[in-house]
Formats: sequence, structure tokens, C-alpha cells
Amino acid sequence: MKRFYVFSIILVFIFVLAGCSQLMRNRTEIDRIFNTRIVAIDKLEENKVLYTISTKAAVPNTQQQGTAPKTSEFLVSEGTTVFEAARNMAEYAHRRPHYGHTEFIIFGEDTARVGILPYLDFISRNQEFRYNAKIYIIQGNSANSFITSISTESIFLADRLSILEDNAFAHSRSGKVTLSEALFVLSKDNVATFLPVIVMTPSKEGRNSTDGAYDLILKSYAVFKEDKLQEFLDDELSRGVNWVKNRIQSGTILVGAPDNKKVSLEILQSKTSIKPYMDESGLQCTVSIKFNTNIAESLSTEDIFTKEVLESLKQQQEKQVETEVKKILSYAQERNMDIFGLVSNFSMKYPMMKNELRENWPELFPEIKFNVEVDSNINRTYLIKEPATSK
Amino acid sequence: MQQAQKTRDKVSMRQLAMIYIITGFSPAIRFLPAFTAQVAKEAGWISPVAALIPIGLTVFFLHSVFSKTKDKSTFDIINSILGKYVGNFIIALHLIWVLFLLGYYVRLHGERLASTLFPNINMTLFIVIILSITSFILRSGATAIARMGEFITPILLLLFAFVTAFLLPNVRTDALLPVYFNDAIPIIKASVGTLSLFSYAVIIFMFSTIITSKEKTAIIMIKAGSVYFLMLLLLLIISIGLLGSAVTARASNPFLIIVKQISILDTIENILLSDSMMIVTLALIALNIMKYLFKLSDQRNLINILLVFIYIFSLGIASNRFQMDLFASAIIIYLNTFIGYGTPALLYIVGKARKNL
Repeated sequence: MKRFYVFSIILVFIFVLAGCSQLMRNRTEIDRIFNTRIVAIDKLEENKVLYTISTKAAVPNTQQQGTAPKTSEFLVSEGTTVFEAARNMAEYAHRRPHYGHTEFIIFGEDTARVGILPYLDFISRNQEFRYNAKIYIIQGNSANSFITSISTESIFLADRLSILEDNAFAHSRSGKVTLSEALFVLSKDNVATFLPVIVMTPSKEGRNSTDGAYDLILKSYAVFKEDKLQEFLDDELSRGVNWVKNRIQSGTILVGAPDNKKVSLEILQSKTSIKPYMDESGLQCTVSIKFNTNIAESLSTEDIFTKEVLESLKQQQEKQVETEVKKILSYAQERNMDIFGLVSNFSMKYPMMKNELRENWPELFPEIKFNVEVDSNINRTYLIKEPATSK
Repeated sequence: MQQAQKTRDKVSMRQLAMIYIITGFSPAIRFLPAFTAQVAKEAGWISPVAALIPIGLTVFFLHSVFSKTKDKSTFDIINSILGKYVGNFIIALHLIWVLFLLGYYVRLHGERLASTLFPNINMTLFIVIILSITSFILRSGATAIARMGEFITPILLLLFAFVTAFLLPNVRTDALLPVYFNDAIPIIKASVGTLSLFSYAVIIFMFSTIITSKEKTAIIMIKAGSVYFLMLLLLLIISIGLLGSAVTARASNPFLIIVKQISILDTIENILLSDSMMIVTLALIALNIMKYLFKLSDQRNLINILLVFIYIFSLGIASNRFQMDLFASAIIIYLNTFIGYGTPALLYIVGKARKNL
């Protein structure tokens, strides 16, 4: 009988309290939640913050059967701090922002130049954000105008960013950096960091007009000293970063056949190892890169699959990679920005000296003598051996 | 009546070992990564190794004290070695310590949910819920709780194994290395955190008045301790190895941050499971001590009084989360280490001197 009473009371509570929304203020019906996928932060004048969030929302579809169409939605607000701006959104937002599904955190160029850490405080502190959200910098634009210009009824920005991110392996000139990785590097003294850059360009002629007025390009990296943007790297330097950081997935290397026609090589596997050492002349570092390529295209009319030609192609690709790596190494040394985190490599090799190395790194890093070793192999080609242009 | 009481209170050493693993996991998740990263930076993950010698010694002391006194309760053993007055004083000291811990963990449970999932909800709601559940569970007695521990332990271990398997491949070596001899002092300082967690081994013996297979104390404690040690090591490796020591040190719950990258639900279930077990275990120990000290025939009448006291105490223990953290790092860690390791050592030394062992 006692169990019956207990069970009855529980049942009564279940039915009576089903609509008790005031008991838990966080409780929101799913159709009233703004599931943020992009957060964009810009610094305004007078130390104000412009805060923009974007999502993909379903449009009520009363006339047709089937799945409701989706459209881009964004909310914008201002505040003295990011948190205040986020809360000011409540003045007009038609749904409650939720950040648990935020995939992208975007900063405009001007904001990145004054420093991103103060703006990351709210994001890294808030219990809804996840640390695997990716960070991007918008070159030549504010993050707000980026979101508002790109998002159209048919194009959802987060989907486009996801595709660009997935396709980055094809060129290896950029890559993704998560909030967790960024905070890890930014918390270290005397280490610079790099974040991927997005550029907006007017849509090229011949493109499908429904693609919107702008194209997005996931382009290279922006380098940061402490948390402040210093420069945007060009394509070659950016790929150099990926070579040194062992982040190359694939990519193209163009070399010349004996008749000076171009041969396209597709990078397959790549492995970089960094061997720091110290001798009487100071700090030295060997960057060893091993990679394989396949011949993806040949504009030459000659047979390039002879031992001599293949050896020549191999040497050319090694030379090209060596040049890319040397360029980025000297770029970093000239600006005294250890974007590769080499201080960790040296500290691991010489743990007794780690404190001295960390403290004196700004004086030591520009003086490191680098030795770049590149070893490669051309594995194979694909469906045809003879060039399509051969007679 | 007494026979029924015995049936409700009988637990084995193996069951105690499982309860020990579950109850220790909750504070480990919450406090160990941040504490060790703060003290020893990237070398923090190795600090549990430095705690092995005092832990091994304590296992030896506990085995020497408990293995030859099969039929006596922990309280009777303490009194027979230290004498009635000193013994009761030491037991009363443990009661105060357990009540402190209980209030602290109940409050922390509320704080954790309020700071990670439900910031807009009054924390007292979570405290009332956990205390209501505790009240319900406590009535079933030590045997039923120990069986619940047997059921929960494999689930907890499996969840942790899954989380670790997903996260380990992403661990950065440059976040964990270099570790060298010049890190020895910070590592030893950081090992206080691990020592503090292992200190609960002593009060676990107060979980019940009837503990079977005490002759296997050493071997069971070594097995359980090894599992727990491995869990702590992995917890530190994935926390510091993924976030870096600086971010780990400043995070209020680093493990939650990294596991959120996989799935939030598993973690919260995991933590809540471990939280509630810790609170139930401490409450049962407090009741057992009170029953012994006040010579009561049944401690169930005290359940509601104790829980009301804990409710008030947990709200009054600190005015905010920052005071709670200070309370943990300035008082609880050292109190745990002092009582948790001092008691077995005292019992062993006095027992040997008085030829009771």
C-alpha cells in the first residue's frame, strides 16, 4: 500500500509539474533556442564590442509537404564587454542563444590586431562553449560584415566554412586551429602562433548566380605575436608552416619536364621531424622532411617515366619544398617569432636547461642555425602512363 | 533484530575497495588536474608516482592493524589499541572530519551543476535533490549500498576507459614534457593532491561495523589502489596533455572541458554517479561513527537529522565558489593528508609498542 501511495504521488507530480517552466529558468523549448554555429567578434571604437551570432533556421513550411527549407539567421548586438553584448541581444532576440554547438569563432582583422585574448575570455569561461570550436581571422574585413555579406537565403556560412575546412587538405596552405590549441599556445611565453585566414572576394564571373555576391577563400595563415595579429602569410610561407609543423596532408608541386612543360605532382604522405641540438657554435636544428608524391598530370609530350627524368623531377620537388621551408624559417627568425614552438623541442632535448631556454628564447631563436633535409619519392601515376598529348 | 542489523551491515573487503574507487574518482576529476598543473606545471601528470611510497606504507599499516582482527569493528580496534579515551577522541576527530567533507562535497555538487550546466538555477535545488536521494539510499543499509557500488564500478570504469581511448590520441607531448630532475620538488609538492585522495582509504574502513575477509586487506588494497592510481595517471595525462598546464591550472573543471569535446552527457552522468556515491558513503560513515560513540542500537533515526544539519552546513561553509576552492586547497588537502595517513601510522606504532598487533 505504501508503494502505491509513493507511486501515485510521483505520477501526480509528473503530470502537474510538466509545464513548470519557472522552476528551471534555463529550460527552453527547442523551437525557441537559437543554436549558434558561428560567433563573430569585432572591436568597435570607444572600446565597444560588436557581437554577431549566426545559425541556420528552418522556415515554417505550411504549404508544402516534406522537410522545411532552411535559411541563414543572425543576431547582432553591442556592449562594453563580450558578455554584456551577448546579454544585450536578449532585448530583441526572438529565440534564446545557445552556444553548445558553436563550431566557428571569427575575428575581424582590426580586432585581431589589438589582441584576441580579452575576447576569448568569455568564450573559454562560458560553460556552453566547447573547446573544439575553430578560430578564423577575416582579412581586410570585420567579422560582422563578413557574416552579414556572405549569408544569404540559400547559403549558410557555417556550411561553407565546413566545406572549406574539409577541402583544405587539397592545398595544405591553411588548416584548422581549435580554441583549445590556440589557448594552449597563447598561454606560453615567447611563442608565436598562427590562425587560418578567410578572405572575401567578389564572386567571379561564370559562377552560379545563386552562390551569392562573394566567394570565400580559406587562404593561408595569420601570424600572431602574443595575441596580436602581426602579418598575413602568403601561400608559399603558409605551406612552409605546414611543412615544419607536420600538418601537410596533400597538395600540389609543379615541376618541369625536360621539354620545360609542367608536371603536376600530388603530395601523398608527409612526415616532418625536428632534431634540435647544441654545440659550441650555439643552437642548431635539423628539419627533416620525407614525403611521397604521385604524378597527377603531365603537359609534356615526352616520356617522363625514365629513370633520369624521374630523378630530375624528384630533385626538383625536393628543392621546392626545401625553398618553402627555408623561407618560412628565415621569415620567423627575422621577425623573432617562434611560430613552430621550437622552444619546446629544445626544452625536451635539454630538460636541465628548460628554464634558461624559455627565459632567453627571444635572444636565442634568431640565432638558431637551421639545416633542412628533404627526402622524397615519386611513387606512381594513375590510369594512363603516356601523356595525353603524346602522338 | 541484531541478526537483521548484521545482515544489513555486512560488507566484504572487495566491496569496500570498489566503493573506495568510486568515491575517490569524484574529487579526483574535480580537483587533481588543476591542482597538479598549478603546482608542477607540465610535470604535474607524474606527481601520483611520487605519492606511492607514503601510500604503500599506509597500506602496510592498515594491513597490519586490520588483518589480524577479523571479528572486531574498526572502532573497537582503534579503542583496543589506543585505549578508550584516546580512541574515542580519535574517532570523534574522524566524525568532525567526515562531517566537514560531507558538507563540502554536498555544496560542491550543487556548485558544480550550477557552474557547468544550470547557471540560472538556485543551487539549493540540487542540494535538496542529492540529500533526498541520500536519505532514501541510506535506509537500505551498508550491504545494499556496497552492492550498488559493485554495480556502479564497472560502469564508471567502462565510461572512463571510453573517454580515455577517444582522448589519448590527441594528447600533445609538448604539453607533458620535458620532465627532469629539476622538477622533483614541484612534483613532490603536487603529490600532496594524490596523497589527499588516497587518504580516504582509512575512513572507508568505517563504512561498516562488519567487514569480512579482512585478512586480504593488503592484496585487495593493492589491487584497488593500482586501478585508482592508473585512473589518476590517465586523468592527468589527458587533462594536461590536451589543454596544456596553463589552461588546466586556471580551469575550474578541466576534465569537463576536454570531455565536452566528445559528449557532454557521458561526463555529467559519470560525475553525478561518482558524486552521489561519495556523499552516500560519507553520510553512512558519519552515521556509523555516531552510532558507536553514542551507543545507539540503530542509526536510521539519525538520518534525517544528519541530512538537515548537512544541508545547513553545506550552505554556510562558504559564500561562493572561490571560498570553496580556497577551503579545499588551504584546508581539506592538508587535513586529509594529516588524518588519513596519521591515523594508520599512529595505530601501527602504538599497537606495536603495546604489543597489540
